[in-house]
Amino acid sequence: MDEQYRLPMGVEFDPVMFAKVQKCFCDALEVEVDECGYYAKVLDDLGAESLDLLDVVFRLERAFDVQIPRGGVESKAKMVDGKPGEVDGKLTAIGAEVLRKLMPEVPEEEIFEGLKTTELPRAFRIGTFYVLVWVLVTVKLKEAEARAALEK
Amino acid sequence: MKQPTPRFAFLIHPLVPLHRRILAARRLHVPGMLAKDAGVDLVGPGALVRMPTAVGDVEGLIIGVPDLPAQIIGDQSRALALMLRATRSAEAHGAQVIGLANALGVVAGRGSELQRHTSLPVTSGQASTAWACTEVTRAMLVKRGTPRGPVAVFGFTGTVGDAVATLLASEGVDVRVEAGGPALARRADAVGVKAMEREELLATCDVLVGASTTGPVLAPSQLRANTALVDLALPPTLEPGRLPPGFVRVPGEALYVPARVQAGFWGRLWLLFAGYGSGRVYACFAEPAVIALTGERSFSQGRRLDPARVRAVGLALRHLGFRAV
Repeated sequence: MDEQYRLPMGVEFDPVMFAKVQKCFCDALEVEVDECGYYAKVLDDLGAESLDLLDVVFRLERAFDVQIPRGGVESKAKMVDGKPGEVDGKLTAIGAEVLRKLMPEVPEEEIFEGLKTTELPRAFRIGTFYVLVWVLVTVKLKEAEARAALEK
Repeated sequence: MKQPTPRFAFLIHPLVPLHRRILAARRLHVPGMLAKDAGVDLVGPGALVRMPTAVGDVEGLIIGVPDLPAQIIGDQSRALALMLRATRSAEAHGAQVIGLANALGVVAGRGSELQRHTSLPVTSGQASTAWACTEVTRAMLVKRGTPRGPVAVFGFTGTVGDAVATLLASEGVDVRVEAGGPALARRADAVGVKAMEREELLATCDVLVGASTTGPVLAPSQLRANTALVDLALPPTLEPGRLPPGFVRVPGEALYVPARVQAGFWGRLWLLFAGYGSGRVYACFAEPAVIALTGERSFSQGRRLDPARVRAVGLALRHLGFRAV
């Protein structure tokens, strides 16, 4: 865990990257940067709706030159060790557990067994998107380093 | 010397694979007719329609891009590239404005990113949609004998829902929206609408506006008898089910055209698929026509509509002979 922010294992806080993430939110949602704190709820606190999330994703993809997979975080909990993470559109106990680990920025009580997956975006924080981007950028950098090493 | 007829381009996309095959057939693109996926070669003019208005004719050049809605939303960079190609085609064919249909109007910054790459005005048509919906809702309230409301607007967090609620509230109508988080409460306060729980909304409002951007948000079983729904959501606001007695649903995004739209075979086919035949069009289709005829700048781009611009496009539409009711 980072000392300042709750981050998943292995993820680091990069203030420059976070500022870029904040800017994407500010531009997409027409809000001020001081509203876009790490723990700000994207839907409830910033007033975003589903099409706004599309816009945010587009801006993040262009700002960081990454492709954010559709389904994002929720897709990680679809199947866990061969067990279903969701049944009939609701999180199972194991699905909720996985998501709580992946999204430590969200208070644990907001991700629970039986939560409709369509309701999950209501729990998204700015930090959720920061982590998503950090992972994608880090993977991309590592792949580039590996390619460069092979070429040498 | 005779002036050329003003012309706008309208960028469309297939809603289902069959539509894409038709696009491919129109472009004589055999791989596109056979394959599940299609390349950028399919981008190009598909039809030309002519719309007579009170101040003269305007031509609409229909340009198709091959991706389905899920593809457009799933890969916005590709969608933008396809729209850019379509825009170059529109420029080459003398279009003076670019209109964006359906999913093309909601990706890539709702037209703002495309605008950075062309000098032609780009519009998602949402101002006209908001104006049409406001007109239809106002007429419905008058018809029900409650011109001051109340009216419930579902989808207040969306661009069009926000504009409709704001416009009606500014005219003194009692507008109610579904309660949400603190941001929604702040916005509701700012524009003078009341936020309340869904049960209370449905118990107190006979006229509803469906402006959700996520499809079905209401079950028929939640509705009272004789409720009227002004719907502009696609997919529709209501889940399938048995409707209560006296329920009426009216489209909130349709405009009557000043005179019959003239089109050839492919244009008529597009009008058929676009939903309303030749007597009515989607409001978002009329907006680029207004810009082409008046030389106005875009009315609709980005997240929030300016109520003054919505009123302005409404005035222009009326002047040209379009009407919502």
